[in-house]
This record gives sequence, structure tokens and C-alpha cells, in this order.
Amino acid sequence: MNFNSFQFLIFFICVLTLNAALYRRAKGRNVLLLASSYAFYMSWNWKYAGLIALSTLVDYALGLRLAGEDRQARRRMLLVVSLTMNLGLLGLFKYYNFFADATGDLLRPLGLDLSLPHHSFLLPVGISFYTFQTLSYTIDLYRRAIPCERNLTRFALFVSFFPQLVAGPIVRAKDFLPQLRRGPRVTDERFNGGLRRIFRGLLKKVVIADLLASLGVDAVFANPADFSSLDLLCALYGYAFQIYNDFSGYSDIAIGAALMLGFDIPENFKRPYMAANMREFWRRWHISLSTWLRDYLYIPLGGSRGSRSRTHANLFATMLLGGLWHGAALNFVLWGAWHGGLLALTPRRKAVVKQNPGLRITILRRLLCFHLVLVGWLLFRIEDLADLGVYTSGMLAGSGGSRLSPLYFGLLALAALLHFTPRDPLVRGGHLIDRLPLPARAALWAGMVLLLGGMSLEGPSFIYFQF
Amino acid sequence: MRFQQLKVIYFSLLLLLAAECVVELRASGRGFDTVLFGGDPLERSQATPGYGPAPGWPYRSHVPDPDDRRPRVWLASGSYLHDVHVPPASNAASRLNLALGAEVLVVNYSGAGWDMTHNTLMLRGEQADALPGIAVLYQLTNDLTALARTGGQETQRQSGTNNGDDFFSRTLERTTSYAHLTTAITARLASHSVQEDGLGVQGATGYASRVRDFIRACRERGVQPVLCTLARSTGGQDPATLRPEERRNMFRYIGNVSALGWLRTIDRWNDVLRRVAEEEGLLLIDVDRALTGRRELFRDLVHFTEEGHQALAEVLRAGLQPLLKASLGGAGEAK
Repeated sequence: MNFNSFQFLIFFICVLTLNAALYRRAKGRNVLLLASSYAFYMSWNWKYAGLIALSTLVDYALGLRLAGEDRQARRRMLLVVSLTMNLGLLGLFKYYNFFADATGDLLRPLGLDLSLPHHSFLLPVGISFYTFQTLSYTIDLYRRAIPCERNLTRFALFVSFFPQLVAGPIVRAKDFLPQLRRGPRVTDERFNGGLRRIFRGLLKKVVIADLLASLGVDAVFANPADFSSLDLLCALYGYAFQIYNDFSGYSDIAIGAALMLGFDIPENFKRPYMAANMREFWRRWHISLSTWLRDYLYIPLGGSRGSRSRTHANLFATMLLGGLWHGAALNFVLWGAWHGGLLALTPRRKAVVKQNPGLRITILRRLLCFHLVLVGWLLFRIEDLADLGVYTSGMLAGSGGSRLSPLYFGLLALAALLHFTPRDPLVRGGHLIDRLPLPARAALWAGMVLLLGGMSLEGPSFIYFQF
Repeated sequence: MRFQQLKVIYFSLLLLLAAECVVELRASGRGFDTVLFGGDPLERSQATPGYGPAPGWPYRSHVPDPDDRRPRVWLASGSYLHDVHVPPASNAASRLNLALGAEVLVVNYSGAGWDMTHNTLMLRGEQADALPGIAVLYQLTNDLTALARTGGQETQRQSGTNNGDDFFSRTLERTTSYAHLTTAITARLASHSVQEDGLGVQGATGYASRVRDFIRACRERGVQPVLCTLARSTGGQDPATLRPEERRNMFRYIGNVSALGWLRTIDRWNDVLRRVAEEEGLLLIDVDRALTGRRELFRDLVHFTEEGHQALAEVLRAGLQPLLKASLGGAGEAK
């Protein structure tokens, strides 16, 4: 059930209606949201609902045990059980085949022909997201940073809350469980803001991301040898805006849907291509993942507490694993390594602030940072590493002419304009809508549904669903 | 949270429903299939006693008696033979049934939008007593649109999803608003995509593998497969010969193949059918050579007029004659 599908529209309206009916009954409301979340997940593949249920039950039980346990050795053991189970499932479904191949390839030069069998399980949608979410709960509990959740319905809802279940933002227990205990808060302003946010996300997804993909990016990346340098460069720019609008569009819809149900989930993007250096980029891009990696991986590894080389090694290892989180493929590892290397080379924040550069320098830094990110996107998008050489040599060949349509270039300009204008016009325009009378607002939203429906070229679902 | 807050959503839904009612009323008046006004007026207006679709017989061809044990010939196809624009008694399957006489039952085993994968799946899932002796495959452009979406490759789903085949999506796709939107916006946008002038070797390989899978399914079930090439309204490969509505129709379904690409691919895949038939030792009925370029037989690039259905039935009868003679000893002689 994609967010940009008619099925989701009907589903969400039903959930909103029932939620309004049960709004004052905490237990019934939570059961409704939990049942809706499982129904939503089972619409993708009903068989894998058992996996979430398993993760939920194990972490709930471990949480209860952790809360009642004072002996440090036992607490550590309970944490290890949680890590093993969650990462074991993730590893089995997502990484087993990749590492089986890699092991075989590594041992072959030593004369050992070890062909480990492959499994043919489909990757459960959203497994990387909800695994990280439940892990944050057990780790925070182990650190005594949060209280234990004793209500199973509330805990299960935290793990499976449907707006952010399949592609984030990754919600922390310390942010979400208190909201479930306190109850949702739906004011007119929050409800209308949520609705506007959903349409903003749909516009980003359908009008910018999907059209950029359908009108040029997909075709160019499929056969880079058939296109000129100009087309290759513009397809790479296009992909940068496609992936941003696709993923931030999904996050907008998730945040908007949660807001309409009365919950706050964290922001995931702050116009990342405005960053002046790589550290800033990672404070603006996929914020919920980067802060998760910082708090649960980088800092436990030692963070920046050790020597400079140790800090660099920690950063590099964190980003390498961050790359691998996206998928079991060499290009994601290279993407992670590229960002890890760049982060290690970026001066620490204090040094950057001290310099207080002028506007021109800031713009130049932003341009440089954007183009460094662009190189990363090339590694990320390319499916076959053999195409990397074809793509880069084609881009550097300097050949002119274009097979891309003027509509593609117009769309690219629009995407850049929306991203780089000082205040997001989609946000500013949104507030004016609330001042319209009800029939006009309803007509506007109905018109948007028709327009977005017509513009929905049959394209892929959200890019981050595959992670 | 109050129901008051949901008013804007309910109001928007009402407006959408009202808009759908208006366009459906107009479409229904013109004889089109609509969701709200009783299904398929074309189907109703063409209801012919003794012909499907009927309860227990979804096929647009002659309804047999329940204990009918005559040898069956399936015409496994898509909208070319399902064709709701032609009364069931006048489509190629029914005319072929008449032409072959009482010894054989021809079943129009076709559906609008079905591609070859669907035909194969149906064949594998059919009950043994309903299976035919011969299955005639007439299927190409639906596979072209399916394979064009993946750059010519057969793909497997990467993650566990079952999107796009639910009740809501199917209902949405039947609405008149959807039809208007796909024609007015989607097709226009799609025509701005980067278009390939064909699906290349990968496409031909993907198509050949579909054909071979159909043949395999036939053999597994003890059915004799027969292949047909596909006919089209214009011969040659000059897109300028296409009528505007023929061209626009292509982009309604897929935007990354140019008009030239469509013509080239149809020709190339017809050659695939000829080659596979030869390699597998199968009967091939060359409908392409018999009917392509006879514009009066087509209402668009690949769909037939009533006259076209009659012509197709004659080509199929003539093509099937040797096979029927061998297996039935005489059926198929011109009646």
C-alpha cells in the first residue's frame, strides 16, 4: 500500500474516522492504531507481519527483564540477546546472500571453493527501519535512559506505527512512548498542517521525483553509453533531486499522517543541499538515521574522544556501516566509504564557525559540498560498477546535444528553485490555504487528488522502501 | 479530535464522487463501460443468446452444454480477441467456431489487458477436464508494454510487496475519471520521456522466454501449442503512416518506446515467433503476412473491426486445418 495509492487514501480516511470515534478512549484508540498498522504492513506482504510481532514480543519481554535486573552482567547478556535476535534477522534477510558470495570470492584465490547456498526470501519491507527502532529501545533501557514500557499494546504500536513503519523517520522510544502514554493531541491547526504536509510530500514525490525519474534519470542510468556528457551530468543532478524529493516526500507524508492522528515524529530533512560542508550535510540529510548512527554506533566506538586518527577511523567505520545499512551491495559500501572519507577530512565544527566566511565563500562551499555529495549519488545509483567507468568517462568526454526533453530541464530547474530559495514556497503557500472557506479548501484538495492521480506515471514506489 | 476536523476530507471526497458521476453519466450515455452505471453497457447491448460472458462462462464465445465433450481449441489472447467493441457472436473466436463446424468447440480464452504471462498462468491453473487439445497464442503488444517498463528484462520483485493488484486499484482503474486523466495528462507527460527506438536484444530475449514458457506450460498439460504472428494496420516502419489516435494510444500505456520503436519491436518479435516455432517444431500461423497493412480491417494499430475479426477467423481456420485434419480426421474443412 503505497502512500501515493488510492488504496492508502481510502485506508487512511477510514483510520481517521475511527480514530475520531475512539479519540477519548485511550485503550480502544491504541488497539485501533495497532490493528491499522498491522493491516497496513500486511498489505505489503502478510507473511512478514510475524517478523515484526516476533521482534516486538522479544524486545518487550527483554525490556521487562532489563527493568527488573540490577546485575550488570545479566543486563549485558539481555542486551546481547536483543542485538543478536534483531541484527540476526536483519542479517539473514538482507545480508546473508551478499556475505555468502563475498566469502566465496575471498576464499577462491586461496584455492578453497566454498559456495555457500543462497536463500530466496524476499526482503521484508521496512525491516532496517523497525529493527533500528526496537534496538534503540533496548539500548536506551540498558543505559537506563528511559523507563520500561509495561503496556504491550503501546510498545507494539511504537514498533509498528504505520506512518513511519516502512521508510522512517526512525522514531526513538524516548520521543514516542511518552506521547502514547499522554495521548494524541489534535488541534485544528495541527490537523490542517498535517493535511498540507501530506500534499506537500505527494507533490514532491509525484511531480518532482517520479517525473524526473520517468522523463530522464532512469533511461540515462540504464544505458549511459547512449547519452551525451550534458545528459549524463543533468541526469546526475536529476537523481540528486529525485532521491531528495522521493525520500523527503515520503517523510513529509509520514509526518503529516502522524500529525493528523495527533502524534509528532521527528523531522528527517532540512534542505540538505544547502549544507556548506559534509558534517552539516549529515545534520540535514536523513537526520533520524544519522543521529541513530551517531548515538548508537559512533559514540560507543569512542566518537571524537580519542586521537584524531581514532576519530577518523570511527567516522569512517560508522559511515561504512551506514552505507551497508542501505543494502547488501558494493556500491552502497563505496558510497558509505566516500562519505566516511569526506567526513574525516572535514574540519570539526568549532574550526568552521571561527572562520565566519562571507557570502561568496559560503556559496562556493555549498556548491563544492553539493558536488561532492553528487559523486556519492553516482556511486549510490549505479547498479553495475562496470557502468561507473562508462558514466564518468562519458560525462568527462564533453560531448554536446541532448536526448532529454525541455520538460525535463524545466523540472530540474523547478526542483533546484524549490530547494535553494531561502524559504520553501510550498510551506509558505500552504498557510494561505487554511484561510480559504471550507468548500474552496475541499475543492482545492479534490483537484490536487485528480492532478496527482493523472501525473502518477507508473513509476517505482518510494526509493527507500527497498532499504 | 473531532469529526468536525474531518469535514474538509469528506467534502473533498463528495466533490470527487460528484465529478466521477458526471463524467460516468456522459460516458455511459455514449455506451462506455462505467463503474457506477451498471457495468458494461456495450456488453449488455451486444448480449447474444448462447454466447458468453454468461454465468459460469466468462469467455466471449459460444456457451457449450455442461456435458459437452468436444475437442476444444483455445484462442489465448488479450484485448485483440476479447474485444468488447465487437458483439461476442462476431469476434474471431465465434466465427472460427462456426467455420470449423460441430466437431470442435472454440473457446475465446482472452481478456482485455492480459499479456502472455497471464495466458500461461491461466493455462497452468485450469482444471484438467476443461483443457483444450490445441491452444492458439495471439499475443504481443501487451508483452511489449510489460517488458518496456523494465527495459526489456523479466524482473522479479525485490521486496515482499503485492501492490497494484488490490480491489481499490482495480476499481480506480475502471473509473471514467481515471481514463480521462490517463489520456489527458499521463499520456502527454509520457510522450516527453526519453524514448528508445526498440527494446533491443534484451526485449527480444524476454519475449522469447515468455513464448517458451507458454509452450512449456502447454506441454506440461498435454496441450498442443500453436503460435501466431501479430498483424497491424500499417506495413513498413514509417511512424508517419500512423494516425494520431494510434500514436497517442501507445503513450497511454508506456512512454519510453517511440512510435518507431513500437513498429520495429512488433516486426522483430514476429520474427522471434517464427524462429521459436521452427526451433520447437510447432505450427505457426503467419497472421502478420496475411493481414498487415489492410487498414480497413483495423480500428487502431492492432485491434480489429468486425470485418477484421472475420478475416482473422479465416486465416486461423486455414492455418489450423492441417493440424485438425491430423488430430480429428477432417474437422476444419470449409463449411
